[in-house]
Amino acid sequence: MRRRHFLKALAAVTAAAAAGLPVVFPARDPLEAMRALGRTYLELHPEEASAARAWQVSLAEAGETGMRGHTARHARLDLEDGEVVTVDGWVLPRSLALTCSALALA
Amino acid sequence: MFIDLRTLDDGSVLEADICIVGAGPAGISMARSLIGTSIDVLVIESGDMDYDDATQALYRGESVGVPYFGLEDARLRFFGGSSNHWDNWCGEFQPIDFQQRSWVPFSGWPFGPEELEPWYDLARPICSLGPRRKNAEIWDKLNVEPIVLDESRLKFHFWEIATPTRFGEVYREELRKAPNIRVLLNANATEVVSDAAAHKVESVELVTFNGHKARVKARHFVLACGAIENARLMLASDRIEPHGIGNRRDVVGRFFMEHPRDRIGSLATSDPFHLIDMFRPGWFGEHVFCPSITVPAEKTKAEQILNTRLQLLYVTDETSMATMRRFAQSIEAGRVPDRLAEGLWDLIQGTDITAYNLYRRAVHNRPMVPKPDGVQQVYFLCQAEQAPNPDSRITLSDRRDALGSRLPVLDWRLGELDKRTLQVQGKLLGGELARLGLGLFQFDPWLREGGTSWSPSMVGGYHQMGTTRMSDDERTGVVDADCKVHGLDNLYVAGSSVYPTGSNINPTLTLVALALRLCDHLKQRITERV
Repeated sequence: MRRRHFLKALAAVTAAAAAGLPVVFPARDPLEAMRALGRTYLELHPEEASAARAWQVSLAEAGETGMRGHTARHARLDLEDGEVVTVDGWVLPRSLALTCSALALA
Repeated sequence: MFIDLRTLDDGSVLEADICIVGAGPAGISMARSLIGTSIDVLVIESGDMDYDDATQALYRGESVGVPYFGLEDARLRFFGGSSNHWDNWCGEFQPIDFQQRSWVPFSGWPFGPEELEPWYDLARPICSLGPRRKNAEIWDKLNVEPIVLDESRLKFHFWEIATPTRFGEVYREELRKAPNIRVLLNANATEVVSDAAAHKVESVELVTFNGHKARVKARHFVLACGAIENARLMLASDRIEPHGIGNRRDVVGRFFMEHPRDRIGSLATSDPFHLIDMFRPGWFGEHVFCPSITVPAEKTKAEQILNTRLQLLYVTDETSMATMRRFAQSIEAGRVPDRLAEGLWDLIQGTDITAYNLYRRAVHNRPMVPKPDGVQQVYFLCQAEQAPNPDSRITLSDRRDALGSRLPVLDWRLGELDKRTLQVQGKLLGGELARLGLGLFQFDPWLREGGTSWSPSMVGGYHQMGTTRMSDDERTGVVDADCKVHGLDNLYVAGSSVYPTGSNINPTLTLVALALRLCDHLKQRITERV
């Protein structure tokens, strides 16, 4: 998938995933906010870089139509399992942090 | 009977079976429970029946550690003690609070919760509380559907709130009429004097502002002056033991604890009203219950954290609710509300929410809520358990008060575990709120960092504890399981200064329960002539 398409798809995915939570990130540009969160997450947890790259691949494999379900499903599972991480003070399901990281790496 | 020491002859010597130093909730509860017995009781109170600036100034001190309230503002020194400014938020300690927790140094009480339960039963009505209730019953009565927490991670725990019980007012007449109880007012204890071997207390020295001195001789002495003053009096009593009476192991004054209260973070949510409504204190008969969130014991063990509670609060720009409350208080007090026109304008501006709140109160007996679109922020406040820390302590200054006693110096310290607990608990909270689709939680900046520093807005709960802590081992405690000072046959301590750990709940109910238990012990000793 070309980078432009990936970014577009990812933006849609993350917006949809976030829409599952009644939340609006505190930034005018949600995409940039997600990217910033991803960068912060990777700075705090450099050991997650390989997981983020793998996540990037799995998102790409899911394709534009499957990305939404993929991220939302994993986010739900994370929350059920208590798999949450703290990024810039936000408590997020790890999958969402990985999605942000994938965006930052793209 | 009440006696003003200033009216007695200088040099008077008074005698009693039990001398209780301090007429706050602990001292008054003990005296009450001895009414009608053959035991002659003398209660020593520094103040009079009402607040007095000069007496209150005896509570001044220095603070050199984590910023704390002025010591003269953190407690009250007249009959009834600090119950005179008590809001009566109560609760019982939970079983985990009594346990020795390997991850909490110096934790563990000499007994378990079952030992205190019958004394809680007796203490509850003294603090104007009703019977113990289960959570399901409370939610049902509050007419609230709680969010369904994963109970392996978080659970609800309620504060119980009764009408403030001013011990000095409520129980004054009982004590006045009791033939075996004398309350000595304006009597400032300056020293506890032991025999030469430091095995037994012989007297407590008293002084008044008009220069009268007196001495109390008793078979048993109980210090019930609060956690700062109990330690201060013991440290200052250095005539026989150079480091203070009962302080051979240098434990007196150490392990000062509070309940740090601070914002931990806020919630980004599209539906603040649901949570605000659920977390508001609500009525159950004559009593009020306020929900809070704690971590189950097993989870605290798994995460190696303390037992801390979180309360949901909010910021609103809408003023009609505050105006309604102000008007209600004025009307109840028989006064015309201040700023009447301004207040009426507020109510007119907020007619819809005012009407809704009146409906809630009248029809559903539910507390007031803010106008949803006026809510600017929903946030969580902690009332934290503090890990016992020997370096957090009371010592004595070289400066002296108006009666010549050395002032206390508070060096309050917080540690890594205290802060890490909030980081873990906030994460658990954030995960649960997200799982339930209620919003995203964001930590306040001070908690995003490690270390031990707290935010500048952190305060205590006016809950001083731990300075004469209880332990079977005199190397780690000042008093034993009976609240008797190690090494001294007839000196006891009552109050929250004996807590080895302080839980996350306000301390008064537990200290009353412990005082009643101590009283029972003393009755047995006196009856058996031990």
